[in-house]
Amino acid sequence: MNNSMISSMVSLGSLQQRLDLLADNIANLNTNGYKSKDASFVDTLTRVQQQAKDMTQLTGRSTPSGYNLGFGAKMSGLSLDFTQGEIKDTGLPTDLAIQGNALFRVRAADGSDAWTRVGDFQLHPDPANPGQAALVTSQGYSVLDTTGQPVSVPANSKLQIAADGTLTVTDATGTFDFGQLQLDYVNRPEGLVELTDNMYGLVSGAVQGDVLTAVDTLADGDPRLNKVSVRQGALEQSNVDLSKEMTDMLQVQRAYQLSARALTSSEAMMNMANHLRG
Amino acid sequence: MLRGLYTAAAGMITQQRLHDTVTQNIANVNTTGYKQVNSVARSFPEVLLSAVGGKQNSSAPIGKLNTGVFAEETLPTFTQGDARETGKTTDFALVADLQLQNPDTGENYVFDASGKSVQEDGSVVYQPQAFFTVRDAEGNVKYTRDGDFHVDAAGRLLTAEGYEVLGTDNNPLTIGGAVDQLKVDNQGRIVNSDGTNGPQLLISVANQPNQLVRDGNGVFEAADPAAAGINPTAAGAQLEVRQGSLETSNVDSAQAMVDLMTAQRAYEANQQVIQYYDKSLDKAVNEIGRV
Repeated sequence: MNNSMISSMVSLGSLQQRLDLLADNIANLNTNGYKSKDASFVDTLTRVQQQAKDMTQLTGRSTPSGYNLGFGAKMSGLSLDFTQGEIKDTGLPTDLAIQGNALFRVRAADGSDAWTRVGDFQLHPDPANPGQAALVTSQGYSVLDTTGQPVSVPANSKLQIAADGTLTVTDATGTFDFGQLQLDYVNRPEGLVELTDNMYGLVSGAVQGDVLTAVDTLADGDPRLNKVSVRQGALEQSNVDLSKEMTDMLQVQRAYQLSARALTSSEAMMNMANHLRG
Repeated sequence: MLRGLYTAAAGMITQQRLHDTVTQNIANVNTTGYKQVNSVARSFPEVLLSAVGGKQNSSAPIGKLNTGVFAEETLPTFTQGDARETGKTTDFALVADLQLQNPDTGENYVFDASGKSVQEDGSVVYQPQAFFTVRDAEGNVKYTRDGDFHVDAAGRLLTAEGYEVLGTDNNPLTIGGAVDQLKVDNQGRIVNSDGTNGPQLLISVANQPNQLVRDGNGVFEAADPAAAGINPTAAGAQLEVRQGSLETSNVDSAQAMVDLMTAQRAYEANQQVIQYYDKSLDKAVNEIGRV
């Protein structure tokens, strides 16, 4: 196979990956709390073809010896875009939206900590404590408070959540404080990896304290402190920007066509070589 | 043997190389910080033809002939790509228009749009180019225009390919605080949260950018740093680091398409010439002398 064919084949493959990614984003246009993904591209490994000795440094040449050939472009990395999505009012007291760059801490199925941005929580009867209701995500994972315990409130009470995540419960006997939801500020988004059910976990080897900082431990005057707040009765929408995704898609489509055209052209050249002899 | 047969074959190979180079450009039409390459062809050294078997023993010269062509080099075009706004704090675009002083006249060279200046004596001076300085896992220093950086879980500033980004002290940079609070000024200096200056991105200037060898993965390598004239940026150089932007590829897709067609048709022309030679040979072998 000639070099042009390899280059165009490699880039068609990576453009297809890019298109898959865009399709993933567009498919999640209406997923609550979805964070769009972005891909980086680099040119692929280059081969330097050596030339005959007496041809290497002829006068007028301006580059080092050899003829430099590349093999297309490849996708080198994926990153999550943690920008704020729009906040939509729902009126449900257990719907929570985070404004700012933070995550709710939840307990994953294996007992470890996980994080989520999706605040469409529900109150479920707590099997451990009859008469109590546990705050869980829509997939049933417990939401944790600042002491690291699952949030549990008296059943049939009125739940109020302040901007800093403080829980207040009102029932027939009065108003009680029920701790504070654990919010973690995202310092390094690349230290997070997507898990199932809209949750994030730490990438292997990452130190939790580096990647995330508990919002309630931030010192006064820390610039991050005023940038996080919880809104009750609202949900964060997906942060996918449809017009950007469509523009990217157009760009990918044209680049795909261009590469396909290069492939056709090198195929035609190969055909010519095959038909040298009549 | 007919001389032109091999000339045409060399022409085909060269056009194939040209086509390969254009395909590589097309493949990277959306690659951040990619610099277009152009294939430069050179004719084979001339040979002197002489008539043999004349009346005198001494052969009479006829003239000079080139017996072919070869793709000599791939010349990168380091023109500035457009800066595209992304809003990410770890994306950087390098916008540079570096000047070079002519040591004879004391004035700055005037560079054309492709970044070169042709002198009266015919020599060519290339415009110096600025690059981010990165280091691979083996400790080799590389240069890149691709400012699509990332901060990993340990806080290291890395390229998309995982190379460490170096600071002015030649050590890899680490980002202490939250990534979304990162501020970098237009000289590549990290501004701490209290407003003081932190470490600075090492921007290297290559006075002979053509001496840099493309290494894949978005980086260039200087096989001979002295020949490439690599230096840290001088103070007051005309360059700017734009945080929250990325430099797009400088490939001109319309030009690439035209180059592609040209290479293909020139290849075809050479192929036709070979076929004509083949027909001539056919006549010589099979028809001359037929009774």
